[in-house]
Order: sequence, then structure tokens, then C-alpha cells
Amino acid sequence: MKPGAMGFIPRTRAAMEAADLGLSLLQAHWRPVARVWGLQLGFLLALLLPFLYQTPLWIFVALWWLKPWLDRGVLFVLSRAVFGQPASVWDFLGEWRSVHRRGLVAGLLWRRLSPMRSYVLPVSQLEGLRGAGYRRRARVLTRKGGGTGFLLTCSGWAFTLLTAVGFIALLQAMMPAGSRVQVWDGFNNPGLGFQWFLLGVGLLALTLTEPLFVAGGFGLYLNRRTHLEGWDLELAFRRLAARLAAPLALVLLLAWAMPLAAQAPIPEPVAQAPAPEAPEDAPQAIQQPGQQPAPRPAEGPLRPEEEAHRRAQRILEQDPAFNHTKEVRTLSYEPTGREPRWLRSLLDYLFAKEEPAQPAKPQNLDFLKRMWDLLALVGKVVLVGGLLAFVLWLVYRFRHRLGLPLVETKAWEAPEAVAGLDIRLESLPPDVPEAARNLFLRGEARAALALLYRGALAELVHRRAMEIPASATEGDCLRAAEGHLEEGPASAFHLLTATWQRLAYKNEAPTRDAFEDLCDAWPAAFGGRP
Amino acid sequence: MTTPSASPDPARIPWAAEQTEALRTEIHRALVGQGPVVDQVLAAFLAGGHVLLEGVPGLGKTLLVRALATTFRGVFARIQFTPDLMPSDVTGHAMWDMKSEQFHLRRGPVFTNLLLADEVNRAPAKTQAALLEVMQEQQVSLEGRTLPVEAPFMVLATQNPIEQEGTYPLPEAQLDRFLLKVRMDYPEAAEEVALVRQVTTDAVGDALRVDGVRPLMAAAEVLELQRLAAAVRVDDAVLDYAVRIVRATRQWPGIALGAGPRGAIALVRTARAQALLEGRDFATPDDVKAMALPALRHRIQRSPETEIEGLGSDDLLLALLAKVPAPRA
Repeated sequence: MKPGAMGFIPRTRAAMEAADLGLSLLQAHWRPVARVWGLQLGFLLALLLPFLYQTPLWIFVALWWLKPWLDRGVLFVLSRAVFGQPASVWDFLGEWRSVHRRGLVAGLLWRRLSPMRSYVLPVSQLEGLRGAGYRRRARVLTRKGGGTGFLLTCSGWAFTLLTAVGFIALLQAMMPAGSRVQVWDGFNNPGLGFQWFLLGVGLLALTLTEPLFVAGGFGLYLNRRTHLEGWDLELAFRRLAARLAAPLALVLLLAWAMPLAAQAPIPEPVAQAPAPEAPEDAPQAIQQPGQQPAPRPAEGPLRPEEEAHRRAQRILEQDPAFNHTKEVRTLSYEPTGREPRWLRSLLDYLFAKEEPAQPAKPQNLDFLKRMWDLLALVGKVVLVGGLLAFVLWLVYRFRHRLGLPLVETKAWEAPEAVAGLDIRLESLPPDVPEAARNLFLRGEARAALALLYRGALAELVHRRAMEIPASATEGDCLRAAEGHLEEGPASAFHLLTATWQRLAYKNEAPTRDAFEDLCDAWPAAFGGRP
Repeated sequence: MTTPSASPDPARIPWAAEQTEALRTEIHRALVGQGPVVDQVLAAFLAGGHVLLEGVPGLGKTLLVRALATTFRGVFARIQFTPDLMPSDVTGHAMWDMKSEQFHLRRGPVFTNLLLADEVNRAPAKTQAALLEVMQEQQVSLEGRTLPVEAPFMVLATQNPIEQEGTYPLPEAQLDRFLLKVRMDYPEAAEEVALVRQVTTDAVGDALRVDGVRPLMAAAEVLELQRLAAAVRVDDAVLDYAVRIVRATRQWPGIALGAGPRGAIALVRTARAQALLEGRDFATPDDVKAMALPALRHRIQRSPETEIEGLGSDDLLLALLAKVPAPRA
């Protein structure tokens, strides 16, 4: 492999960017992809049409199920493109057998509905793994970027559906108004012609979306391998070496590689996969169909497992930090069978060996089950409570619409003042008319009449439990009093109010006689004070 | 403390009370029920303002206006607003007379004392604006001449709340020109029975009958009543109460746009007239409170949430009135 010959720059990317890398690859090589896709699709149609030409929808179902087979052509072209190798239809035909040989049956049967189909497709097609090896490798790959792979599959579905629906909607929109042919009507009564139309739409949607799906998955795959195998570092060093072209570069490379190799942790299961192991050939470890796997070199930054193990062993034996022993003595009890039962229980309790923490399965499971039940109960309560609260809130929110009498019915609290007059009982003198007379005689007619009026109000509010809010005007008080007072007191209150209004709003004080009349009538009308 | 105003002649107050009571009685000869509506229209009439009447068809809006016009020997005109009504159809226009070879001014129906603008929201904005200009200025400009409209002049515009198709709703700024917006509702059962009996007894066809209404006064006396109403004493506390109510509409939750100062002016003007209708020469907070709904309901704009909740402007104003403390006397 030559660094400049790769079809992309291997660097570590975020998962979404990696999927985008796949799409860029497809964008750059869409022509060969389209050719190979067309060839495969034509082949499938030629195979299916003679059997299913009366039920075109079944053709579509079959094609949809056989998508993994179609995907392989796309992946073939893209995998060649990664290494700058062109892939013509003839190349594809030449490699026909090797493209379809590995994992096709599994891909069409039990892996057909895999949620990360396009992401792990290269594992079977390019790496040629199957069975347990495939599963291990797929697990390592999907540990990162698996979510994006799943998202890619979901968006592939959605995109296909949207394309098909969008195309149908476009056609419908293009129909002239009043046209006899209405596309939507076809769904009510799908005749043969409409089924062919749907097949066409479906094929169009598949053709537009499926290569994107495969390319996105392949981008994720390439990125994951770049992560795992350090393709980017590899490439950087190659560039460095090519540039310096001097022994110094080699020395530097070795100086870096040795300690790294010495400190290398036990590799991930990826090392077990027969995929790339030698840096020299790392990116090429994607086995090109028809190529023999490259020979494994003896040394390299990524060592074989046995080598690493041997080194670790050597360090454990030779390094003074590891190579020492320690003697530990403990008391233990072995039952003889002759001691009484209580002694045995006691000794068992005192000297019993530390049992390896038994997972005490039944209790733990019971506990888990109880926890789960509790959680379920809490969830149920929250759900039902939330629903009830929501319904209540709805009723409250739209109470005016529903005509419910749910107005704010606060307990009535007597105000301390009405129309700016203090009507607390304790603010009144013991004998209101007498105090008012005194004030009137002193020339304070306004204060005198105010005292009479607020005295009357205080009596009505506190003794007769009349509800008078602070916003009540004199007229409101009169109307409220009508229901609470007999005729005599009512007319007295009426007169008092009118006199008070004339004084308050016209500044017209009552004559002394009129005032005396009011004072005389007051005790009988409102004088309920003890 | 009172606002400085020429205090009305106290001797004239009983006369005014008598006259307004007689007006009320005469109108009720033709129009059965609708007591509050009649009172509010009379208050606007005494305050020299215009009224926007809202109510479904067939509640007696035209009858009310004709009866009112008959009581003071006034001239009554009616314009049915339609989408093709032009401003000149309202205000009048100049016409070329072939015989005299001169332009003659033909005065429009606005040259009257009482004008009933039926379904005012059916005409386009231009025609509405022509009417509203007359309402504001009390004069019409025709062919370069300014022609005053004879006093007393009052417009009673009606609008139908149920039909929204093909209408041109009055903009908020123009609604503001109406002193009061009076809601006319269906009559009570007993009132409706009396109404049907009265209208169908000895009646041929469906012509409106105002022949039972006697003319009570001349236009000059109406102007005297209006002057008396304008001179009704308003204490500072009452004035402050009216202003506080109007200012409260600007911060009240549920009201997107409160009433402007014109709202407070209208409130005090109608409170004065209301006091006169009650036979008093001074206004009380009760007068202000009684007029708050018709004077303010068309000057506030509900917020979208309130509209969704189904609360009307009257509900909002009633809630507001229940919270604004009555004046400190």
C-alpha cells in the first residue's frame, strides 16, 4: 500500500463524520456503483419477473428481502475505491464468486434484520469471517459507533419510505385539477397497473437510498478500524519516513516502537480476529476478493498474542518489582466429627473459610424482584397520578368552557376597610351615636357622619355576616344590605348612605336636625352592641 | 376637594330628573324591557357621545333609536351599511344641476339629530372613516365647505356579533370614538311576552310603531340637559376612582392592551350623565362603576390565552372592578 494511493485520509473521526466519509466515497465513485447496482438489479428482475409478473408487489417484497445481496456489489466497488483501485462491471463479474461466497446465506436469513447491517457487512464480505469469529469481530467493531450504525439503518428505512411517498405525492401534485386519474385512489383499489407503478416507485426509492446506506456503514467500518489499528499513525510515520529517507527516521521509529510494544496492554479481542495485524499491511487487511492474505511479519508495533504473553512472563520473572514471594499464615478449622454440634457451629462461625462471595442467587434475585416490583408500583402510581392530575388540570383550565362553578371560593374574610373607612369593631367607640354627636357639635360633620356610616357597616359585616368586599361602593353596600335588613333598618341605612354620599361627594353637610334624626335611628337599626 | 366646574343650577336638577324619567317612560312605551340598555343609551345621549350597539338582529335597536328621536322632536335617519356604500352616501355630495347650471350640494343622511348606522361593520374602512370623522368633528367637509351638523347629534351604530363573514371589523382606534358600547341581549321571558303582545295587537305588517311615543321636549331642551349633565359635580375621589379603574386595565392579567386616557374621560363623562339620570347633581363611585362596563369593554383587548379560555371582556372587567378598591372619601 502506498500512503498516497488511499482513497481517503485515515484519521480518527467522530461517528457521524465517519458515516459522512462513506457518503463522500460514494459521491466520488457513484458511476461504477450505479453500473454494478444496475447489473445486479437487472439480473434479479430477470430472475423474478417470469415467476411473479402477475403480482408485482411480491417482486418488490422479494427485492427488498434480497437487499443484502445487492449491497455486496456496492461494497465491492467502494472497498476497491478505498485503495484507489477502479472497479468496473467486468471486475465485479470477475470477482463474482468471492464477493458472494462469504456470509451471503446468513446475511439473507438470520442477519437480514440486523440493526447494524451495513456497519458489519464488511466483516463477512471483506474479512471473510464467519461463525464465532464473525460475532467477536462484530462485537469489537460495534462497541463504538454501533449507535450510529443503528441510526443509519433507521434513517435508511425512513429515507426510503419518504422518497417513495414523496415521489407519489409529487406525481399526484402534477396531476391536473379535475383529472380522472388520481394517484391516491390507487391505494383504495390497487389494480395490476397500480402495483407496477408501486414497484417502480419502490425500485426508484431503493436505488436512491440503498447505496447511501451501505456507504455510510462502510465509512463507520473504516473509521473504527482506523481507531483500532492506528492507521492514521501508521500513515504519519510512513510519510515521515518517505520524507526523511534516512536511517535517523528508522531509529526514531524503533525508539518509539520498542517502549510502546513493551507497555502494550493485552490487546482487545480484535487481536484474535484474523484481520489486520501487521502495520505494513494494516489497511490492506481488508482482503481484496481474490487476493491471498498478506504474510504475517515477525515484528511490528502490534505483536501477536503469544509474543506479548511471553514478554509479560519474562518481566514477571525478572523484574524485582514482581519477582518476590510472601508467606501468610492463618488459622483454620477442620471438623473432626467428634465435637458437639454447638461447638462445631461456633468453630465453623469463627474459623470458617472465607467463602468465595457466593452470589446468593435466590435472595439477590428475590431482592431484585422486590425492587423491580416496587419500581413498577412507583411507575404505575406516577403514571396514574400524572394522568389524573393532567385530567384535573384540563378540567380546571377549561372550567369556563365546561361551565363548571369552580370559581375561586375563598372563605369570606371581613375586610378591615370599606370605601376607605375602617370598619373593625375595635376601632369604634362604645357608643357610636353619642361619639358622632360630640364630633358634630365640634364642627367635624364629616368625621361625625363617617363614624355613623362606618359604624353601621361594621355592624352589618361583623354582626349580620354581610359580605362586603373592599371594592364595594356605597351602592354595593346598599344592595348587599337589602337582603339582610328588615324594612326599618333598611330605610335607615338608605337614608344614612344618601346623607353620607352627599357629604362625601358633594361636600354638603346635613342639617343638625337631620343629623340628630340619623343618630336617633342608629341604635334601633344597627345598635346590636353589647 | 372637587374638580372646578360650573356647578349646575340646583333648581334645574329636579326638572332634569323629571325630564329624563319622562324620556325613559316614553321610550319604554315603544320598547318593552331592555332597561339597562335604555339607561346606557340615555346616558350617552346626555353626555353627548355616540353608542355602538351590539346585539343579534331583531332586538329592537332601530325601534329604540326611533323612539328616542320622537321624544325630542328630533330628526332621525338611518343608513344601512353595505360593502358598496361610499363615503359620499354618508356625508353627501355635490350634484350638477343642468337647469341652473350650478353645483348643488346634496346633504347626506348624517345631517340629522339621531343617526342609526345599521351594521356599521359591513362597510369598508373608507366609509366607516367618513362616519367616524363626523362623529368626532361634528361637521362635514363638502366641496371645500365645512358644514356643521345640527346639535344634538348622536350616532347609534349597530354591529352584529354572530356574522363575521364579509365584515370589516372596526379597528381599535375607531372603536375608541364610541363613548359606550352597549350590549343588547335577549329580553326576559315576561318582557318578551309583553313585547309580543304589544307589537302584534292591532298591528298590520311589520312596520315599527312609535306612535305611542309623545314628543316631550325640543332640541334646545336636550342641549340644556346635556349642559346640566356636563356640569354635574365630580369629587376628586370619584375622579381618582375612574382613573384607577382605567389604569388597572393596563396591568390586568388577561388584558393585552388596556384602555387609554380617553377611556377615563368617557367613564367620567358617562358617570356625570348617569348621576343626572338618577336625579343627582353630583357623581358617586356607583355611577362610575355602573358605567365601567359599557365605557371600557370596547377599549380593552383580550390576550390570546383569555380568548382561548373563553373569558369575555365583561368577565375581565367585572373581575377587575371587584379588585379595585372603592374611593377613600
